[in-house]
Formats: sequence, C-alpha cells, structure tokens
Amino acid sequence: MLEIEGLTVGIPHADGSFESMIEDIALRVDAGQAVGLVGEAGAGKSLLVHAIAGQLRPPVVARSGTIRFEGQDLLAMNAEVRQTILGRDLALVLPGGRARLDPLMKVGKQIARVQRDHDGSVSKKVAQARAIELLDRVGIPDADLRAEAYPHELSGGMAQRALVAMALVNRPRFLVADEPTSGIDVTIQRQLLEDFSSLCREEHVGLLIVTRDLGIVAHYCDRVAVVSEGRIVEDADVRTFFKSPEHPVSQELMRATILERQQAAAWSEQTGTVGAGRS
Amino acid sequence: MTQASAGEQPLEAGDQESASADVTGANGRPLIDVRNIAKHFRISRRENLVAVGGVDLTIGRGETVGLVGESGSGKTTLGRLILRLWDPTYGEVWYEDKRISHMQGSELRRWRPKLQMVFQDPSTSLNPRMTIRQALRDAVRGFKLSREERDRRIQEVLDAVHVPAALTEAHPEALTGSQQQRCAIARSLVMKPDLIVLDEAVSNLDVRGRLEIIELLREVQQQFGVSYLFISHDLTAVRSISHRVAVMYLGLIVEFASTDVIFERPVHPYTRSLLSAVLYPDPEAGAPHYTLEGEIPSPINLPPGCPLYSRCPVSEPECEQWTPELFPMEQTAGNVPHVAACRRIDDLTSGRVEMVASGR
Repeated sequence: MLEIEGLTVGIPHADGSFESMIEDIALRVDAGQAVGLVGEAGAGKSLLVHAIAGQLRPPVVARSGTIRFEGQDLLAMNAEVRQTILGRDLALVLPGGRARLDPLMKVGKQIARVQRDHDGSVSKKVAQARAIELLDRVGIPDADLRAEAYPHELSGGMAQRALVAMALVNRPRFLVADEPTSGIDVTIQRQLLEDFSSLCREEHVGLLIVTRDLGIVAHYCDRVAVVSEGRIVEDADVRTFFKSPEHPVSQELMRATILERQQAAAWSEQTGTVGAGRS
Repeated sequence: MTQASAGEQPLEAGDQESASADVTGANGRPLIDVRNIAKHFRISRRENLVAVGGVDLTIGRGETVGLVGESGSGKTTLGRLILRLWDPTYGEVWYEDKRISHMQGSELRRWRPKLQMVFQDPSTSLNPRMTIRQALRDAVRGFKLSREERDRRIQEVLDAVHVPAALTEAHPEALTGSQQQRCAIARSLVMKPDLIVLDEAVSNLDVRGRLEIIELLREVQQQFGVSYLFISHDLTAVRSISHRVAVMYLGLIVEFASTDVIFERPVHPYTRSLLSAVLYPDPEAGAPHYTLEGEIPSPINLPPGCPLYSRCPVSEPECEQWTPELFPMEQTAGNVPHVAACRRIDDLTSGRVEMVASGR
C-alpha cells in the first residue's frame, strides 16, 4: 500500500556535494498492517514523515527514491494532485497539539473544513455533524459543546485528540501517526491506540506509527523498523524483534527500556521495606 | 536552614539509605505540611472550576513524593499552591513551623528561594539569549551574594549536575535536551532550596535521557538533602524516584502510600486502572486492562459524591452520593501510612468484589 524505495533526503550544497539526512530508506506497509518506526531523537524519523507528507522545504530535498502510495509515486506527482490524496486517502497525525490547529477557528469547523475541502458536495451541516461524531469517538466529552471551542480553550491532550479526529474525518485508507499519543494520558492513549488498531483490523487501514515508546510497538504493531542516523538498520516482525533484536542500535534501545523498568522496580521495592527511619 | 547559614557545606549530606527518607525533621514536623488546601477558579457567575478540592499532603526532608494522575487532575495546581505561585481558595501550607500560605511581601520573598521549580521543556524555560552561566547568575540576582560566593555556588551546582565546563559558556540551543535539563536543575539548586517541584521534568526526554536525569536527581538529593515533589504522568519515572506516591483524580488525592505499595498492591479502582493501562515493552505480556470508560469529567460545576463514579468499574448507586474521605489501610508497609478514598475499599481488599478486566 505504501512502498518506499531508495529514498535519500538531504541538503545539496553549492559545491556539488550532498549532505544526506536520511539515506536509502526502504519501507513497506500493507493494507491492514501496523508498522512501528522507532529510533532515538534526531535519527530521522520525523523527516521521513515529512517526506511522505510532501512537506520537505528547501534547502531540504529528496534526491532519489520513490514513495509509492497505492502504486503512485508521491514524490513525482505535482503538488495539486498530491493534495487530493493527502488528508483524504492518506492522513497524518502529527505531534504538537494546539500548535497544529488554527487558533482563530472553532475546532469543529476546522474538522468539517478538512472534509469539505476534499468533497464539496458535503453540506456544512453534515460535515459539522461528522466532526462532532469524530470528536466523540476520540474520547472528548460533550463533543457537541467542544466543537464550538477555540483551540486555546482545549487542554493539550484534547487538542491532540482533535488532530486525530481531523485525520480520520475522510475515512483514510492509510494513516501516518507521528508520536500520536505524546502528551496524552495513559488511559486515553490506550483508548486511541485501540481505535487505530480496530481501523487496521476491521477496515484494513494501513498504519505507520512513529514512536519512542517500545511498549506501543510491542502491543499495537505487526512490524517494526529501527532508524538510526538516517538509515533503517533493522526491519523485523514484532515478535522476532522483541525476542532477539539484531542490530546493536536495536539492542541498545531495548536494553535501555528494560533497564528503566528494572531500576524503577528495584527502587520502589526498597520504599516498601525501609520505613524504619520514619517516625 | 536560615539564610545566614546558606553558604555552608552542602546540608544533610547523604547519610540515609538510598530509598529511605525521614518524613519528619529535627523538630518533629515534616518539611512541608499541606492542610486541606483547595483552589477554585471562577469561570463565570455560574461556573466554578475546582482544580484542587481539599488536599492533605506532607513532604519530609530529603524525601521525594511522586504525584501522578491524568491531565486536569490538579497535579500542577497543587505544585503551584505549595510554591505559593498561586494563593489557595482555602487551606494552608506549612513550611516546618512557618505558615507560608498566608505570608506576604518581604517575609514571603525571604522564603521564595527555598522552594524551586523545574519545568517540562528546558528549551523554553532557559533564556535563549543567555549562556548557561549567565542564566545561573541571573537566578541569584537580587539575593545580595558576594561575587566570590555567587561564583563558588554556581560552580558547585554545575559540578553537581555534571555539566562540562565548556558548555557553561554556550547558549541553550547548543545543548541536547538532557544537558539543558541538567542546567535547569542546576539553576533550581543555586539558591540551596529545601524543596524542588519537578513538573513533568523528564517527560520530554527519550529513554536514555530519562535514565540519566533520574539518576542525577537521586545523586543531587543525596548531596544536598533536598526534597522533591515529582509530578508526572510517566508512571515508570515516578516509580524510579519517589519514596511515596500520591494519586490524584479530579482535584483530590484518591490513594497515597509508599511507592512499593502503590505499584505492587494498589487498592483504589482508579490507581489500579491507571497502572493497568501501562504498556510493557513485551508483545507476550498481557497485562490486565481494567477499563475506565470515557475520560476525566469536566471539573467545572462538579457534582458532589465520588469523582470516579461515572467511570468506575466497581461503582454502586450509593457511590454517587458518597463524599470521598481517605481511609487508612491495614496492610501498611513499614511505618509509611497507606490511605485510599473508596467507599468499597473493604469489599476490594477482602476480595468480595473483583475489578473486571476487559479483554483486548
């Protein structure tokens, strides 16, 4: 469904040299499949998402490679054609919450507009009702009232959920979610991921989740790709990956994640047994 | 500790066990004693937002109290009330034998440096136009330190947080997130505080950075004897640094116990639901998932009764009218009290009622 081959993105310099930021990326996500993209801060995960979204801005350019969505190369098509696909068939959830919403427009109207931009035949009324339905679905209480709120009236977590609602409004066939649950509480995170997961299983939506959280990968992804210094260093089935990560970068990531949990458990164990020093 | 002795050796050097702390100071009082504190915000003539609704909390010298809960549960507001960044609607904050919640003017200003704060995002809480050393100097400006004393202290805290000398003359943008947070911690330490409120201080870092900063915070606590209020929605981080943990929901503490008890033997339905939502980095691990339906209700014009009523998996009709109070639990570890605010607590601890785990 989404197939990336030989993608190299970077900055061309005047002297003819090329400073690559991500190099020779190959990645494939099928319909109904969830792929996790993990890696440290600065590894190039978000740049890859920008490339898929057609958001590369000079001086950063894609030098070579293809990003095929249902067979069509997103890089080769002109911007207008790409705009008819993005936000409709291929939707994005980007991190940043409130900053990604228009501060001067009510949230419900923003969501309705994303729908009407892609399908002019939808009436304002129908689009507004659909916006409220989606706000409700992503767990916003009193969705009909919240639709009338401006972004500054929402909490960070609610703004992030509004972004998810916006991505789902046109029933996309593919969803790219970059840190979709950052700033969202664990209980709501769980609800949202369950929602993504059922889209994947029941409506065969393809899903690319960019995350730093191996817990999300373990429970909500079928495959995982590890990015380090602009390259995909490992691409494996989730069960295989967690049993035996192969690349040193994957091993290190896994080690740190496990260490964090172990240290937490070791520390908390002491707090239960000490107590003697207290009055 | 008074202002006059502030320049002496680091106080109360780490003579405690790593995970123990004296809840009470020399005079038998905890460092911070919060008594029935509340903060209401008036939204309009008819709407009243209860951010914190009557909370008791103590923090001992050299102790870390973790504060967990969803966004909107009042964690940050409680931290700010303790720091006197906001005035309480009612209730008191005692700092040993001083009632700081009602101090004003110069008296309050004298206590300000004793209570510090570290924020979530160091890239926005450090001045981008100041070098790290300038930012630290700025933090002591106005406290009449001699130049030698000032520079000595700045060096001491920079050493304590392991910031390489070369970076102290750099601007924040040249530093990684973890290095920036080290500098923010150094800045909070330079006035030798007794309490630092850490509000989501590790939430913006990746796993490496979190490990580093947590270890650093423990070291700093050993060296300076400072207490922490560690506010976070990252339960693993809270677990790895707190001596005791308070769980907040809709402006109230619903459970408070030693870290071990909160994570290993929680009783309150909300605590249990919260913990079960944590995802383990193992595809085979099928943690029970007690469903909390919907999300935290709006704190505006909150109806009386148990705040969890609408989402609770074990609620009964009577819970709707039950006014929450913290009951002491029997199975208390060591001498650390364990309290929980649930009407059905006896039924839950005796196993007469089970939380129902939903399948995924």
